[in-house]
This record gives sequence, C-alpha cells and structure tokens, in this order.
Amino acid sequence: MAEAALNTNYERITVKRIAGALGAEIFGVDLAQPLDDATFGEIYRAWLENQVIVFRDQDITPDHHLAFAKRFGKIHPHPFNKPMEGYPDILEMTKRETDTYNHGGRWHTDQMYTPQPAKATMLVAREMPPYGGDTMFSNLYRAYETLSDGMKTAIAGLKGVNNGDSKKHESGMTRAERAKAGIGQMPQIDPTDIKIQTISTHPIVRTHPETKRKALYIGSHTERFHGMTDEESDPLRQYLLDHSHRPEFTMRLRWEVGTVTLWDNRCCQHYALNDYTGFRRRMHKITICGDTPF
Amino acid sequence: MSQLLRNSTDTAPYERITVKPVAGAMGAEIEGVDLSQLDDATFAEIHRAWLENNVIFFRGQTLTPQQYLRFAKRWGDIHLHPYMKGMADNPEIFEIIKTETETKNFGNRWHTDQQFCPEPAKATMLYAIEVPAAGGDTMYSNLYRAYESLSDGMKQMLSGLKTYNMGDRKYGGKSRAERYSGGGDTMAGRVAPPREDMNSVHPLIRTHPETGRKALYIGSHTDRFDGLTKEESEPLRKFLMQHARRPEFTCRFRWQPGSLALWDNRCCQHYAVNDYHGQRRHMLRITIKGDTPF
Repeated sequence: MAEAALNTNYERITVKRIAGALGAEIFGVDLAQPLDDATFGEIYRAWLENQVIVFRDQDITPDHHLAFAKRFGKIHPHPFNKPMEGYPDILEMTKRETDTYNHGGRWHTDQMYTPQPAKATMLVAREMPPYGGDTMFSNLYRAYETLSDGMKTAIAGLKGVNNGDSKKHESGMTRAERAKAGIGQMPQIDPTDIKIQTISTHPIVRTHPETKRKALYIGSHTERFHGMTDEESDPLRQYLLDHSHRPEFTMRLRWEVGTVTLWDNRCCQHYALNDYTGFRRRMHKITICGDTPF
Repeated sequence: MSQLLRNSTDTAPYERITVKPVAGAMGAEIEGVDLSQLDDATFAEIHRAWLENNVIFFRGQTLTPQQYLRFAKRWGDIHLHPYMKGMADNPEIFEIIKTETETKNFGNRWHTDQQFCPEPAKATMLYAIEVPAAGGDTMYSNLYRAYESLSDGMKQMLSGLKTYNMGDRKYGGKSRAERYSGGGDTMAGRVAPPREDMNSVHPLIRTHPETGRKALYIGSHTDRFDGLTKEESEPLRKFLMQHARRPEFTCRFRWQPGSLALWDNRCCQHYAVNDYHGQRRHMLRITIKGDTPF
C-alpha cells in the first residue's frame, strides 16, 4: 500500500489523493481549453497511477467533453444503450424525480461482456441531487495483490463468463423484456436485436496492458467460470466479488455539477449509489475503446 | 427501498445551526458551532440533528481533553470500554493510534460499538488529532434503512430472533490480546481484558428508545442467533451483515485534524478503513452509556 504517498513529480498539474487505495483530484486544468501535450501527458500518467481522476468545476460543452475523451483513444459505442440526440458518441443517463430504478447500482466494470471492453469511462455531472448519488470505486490491483499465494495460483488460469443481458439482473428480466415493461431509464437502440454480443469470456486475472500490473478482473457481469457449472462457480465467484470491494480498496466520490471523472475499467470496479429517489440526476458518459483482455 | 430519503423538510427548521446532509441515507455536517461553548438551545438542535441523521460531523474544532469531556457529558454518563484502557491522565478518553510502522488498525470491520455489553454504548464520539493526507476514512451504515428495506416475510421471521454478541469474538482465529500482540502494536498496551468474557443477548430487531423506529441491530460482534447453532445461524447472519452495509445505506467521512464525529450505535454500524500504511492517525474516543436494548 505504498502508493498513498505518490503524486509528486507533476509540473503542470496538481494531484491530490482522495483515499488510500485509489483516486485523485486534479487541479490546474481547464478542460474547455485545448490541452498541450505535456499537460495531457501528466494527466494520463496521473490516471494510470490513481485509476480514477476527478476534475472539479469544469464548465464544458458536450463538444469539449468529446474532444478531451478522444485524446484517450477511439470512442467505444455502447452496444445497446441509445446515444444522446445529436451526439452519437455520448450517452445521457438521467434519473428523474419519479424514477426509482438507477443505472449502475452494482459493483461492475463497464461493458465487460463485450470482446474488447471499454478501457476508460468519462462522466460529466450535468444535474445533481443536493446530496446523494455518489459513486464508489474499488481498486482491482489491490484486490488481486491481497489474495494469498495459494489463491493466486489457483485462479491463475480461470476465465470469467461475463453476461451483459442476464436474467439474473435484479429485475429477473432480459434487456428486451425490461424495455417492453418500461423498466429502466436508458433508451435502447433496438432491444430485439439478438445479433449483439452480450456474453464474453475473459481471464479472471488480467494484466493491465500499460502498467503491466495484474488485476482481479471480475464484476457483476461475471456469471460463472468458463468450463464450470453455475453451482461449482458460485462460492468462489461470490467470495471474489465480495473481496474485490473491501472498504480498504475503495473510495467514494461526491459529485457536483461540472465534476468530470475518468476511470480505468481494466483495474477498477464502480458502483452508482441509488440513495436519492425524489431528486433528479443527469450525467453524460463517454467510453473509450479498449483491447482484448489478457 | 421506498423510504430512501431523509425528508428534512418534514421537520422544523434549524435556527442555531446549519445541517448539511452528506449522503442520501444518513450523515450530516453541522456548521456554525464551537463545541467548547454551547448554550442549551443550540445543544437541543444538535441533539435533534443527531437523531435525524444517525451520525453528525463537526469540522475545525479545537478542544482540550477537558472541553471534549464536558461536551461528551451533555449526552449522558461516560461508558468505559470493558476491554480497552483509557488515557493515563484522562481515563474516560480512549486514545486510538496507528503509527507509521503499524499495519493493523482498530475497528476495520462493520460493527456497532460494544454490542457485547448488557447496556451497549448509545453514542460514540471521535475527535481527530492527526490524520493521514489521504486515507483513514470512516464508513457508516444506517440500520433503520437496513431493517426497513427487508421484505415483510423476512421482517416477520426476524421479529423474535435474538443475537448472541461476544466481546472477544475471534477474528482469523485470534483473540483481542493475540491480535494486538507481537508487532510492537500501540493498541497492545491498551488491552485490559475483564475477568470474565463479556457476552450479551439482544433483540435482532431493536427499537430505538428515542425515535421509536426499528433497526436491524447486528454487527461483527454477533456470533450467532441465540438458541440456534452456529451452523444454523451462519447463512442468515451473513446475509444480514452484507445487507446491512449495502452502499445505498452508507456514508463515508474524510477526516481532517479538528474533525469530530458523533454517531448513534443504536441505529448505525461503522467501519474504520485501513488504507493508510506508513502514515500516522491519532484519534480520541469517548463513548456514552446506553440502555438495555428492546
């Protein structure tokens, strides 16, 4: 846990750690202005080191958001959620005063069920409740590193089967069934399109392609281990899921309008808290293309 | 999940203090007070805010041990920890220190204070002297919410159950003395076990004596249900423990020197996050006597 004292050696930005495990606030950057390469280089490094970076009080348009996101890579379109009007690369996530269903209220890593899951997710807070609606993050490097040597060896070859359209969703319905029943606030591109790949198999211990560190790559989409039955998988799957978000591995982010957050799905889980029923919350989300996990 | 929000607009406005909720479920920061000098009317508002928010936080307080004790005694008589020694010159204050070289911390499991006593402490207050630059947060969960969000069938089944709570429940096979010995651990010198182990049976569904609300009164001291075997108890105990700290029921507090937190053990669990190895954290704790749970 030596990273607690990191975050020196930045010349163009100020990096302030949020919790012991992960997360940092970045100061000294205006995302409405073009960023020079040296500043962007420091931001990128801070992101790899802290896994989640947070910019406060950013007054940015969707175009600014897109321009900043594109510096991290190509945009990863969501396989079934419909984008925002006029911005095919941005998802608008709104929970209205009258909605009770909340998008992302489980520990997960984004689009893990696709063959090449999004490497990064960037969220801009557009409307926020006066309190509530925080997001929690957990550090999957820590989750891996704190396992015993025996467990590390045992799971070294395991693959997780990740399902993005499971009947095990808390509603007990598939995406198409939920859309038909009017549950969930995310508009769908075409809920009946069965050609979309919503199941992918990835290694449980994933090597981050940039940092080369190993992470426990598991989330709520992980249904079972490849080659095993549900019954065989479940005790270990449940243990690893619970372990992956121990408080020691987590941070909690309180949003304000204008907060911009970027996280690394290759080494983080996150959880959107549904504790603000009666209030409106609206976010803009962009995800960046990733590679095949190894 | 119907009653997800505290509805502070239902209650009378505060005239002497400012109350700012920190999350949807629980917790509020109180502004506009100096705890070294409080008149009765201000104290009454603080007390009301405490009952409404389960945990309240003050920032920037400068208190001598005597001033701290004087404030504490407005809440009731001091409850002395049966296993842990107080400060030499202020035995009613219990010092919690983790040094730069220690790896264990005190309280990093979800619990409610001294649940193993026949009359558990009703309130705990913690005053921060030294805190890490990042890390060392405390997480809280709302046990009213935990109870209220159970199904009717589960509520009915639990209504007659009692918990068996152990003062020296072994964690990882180790007693208190064993956990704190052998590492030059600061807390080792503070363990003073009573002559007989202290275990207590309490109702699982507890009625708060002041608010009249029901709470799921469970924590890490709960070993099993009274009258059931450990094996019979375990699946339900584990489910309820995990349910009790669902992210939606929680808040997280980041400390600064001079911060003071005051929580209600009759309707809260808390967890001291151990994510700050290499940094020092020094807190002063006082607990207030409670009554027999019913």
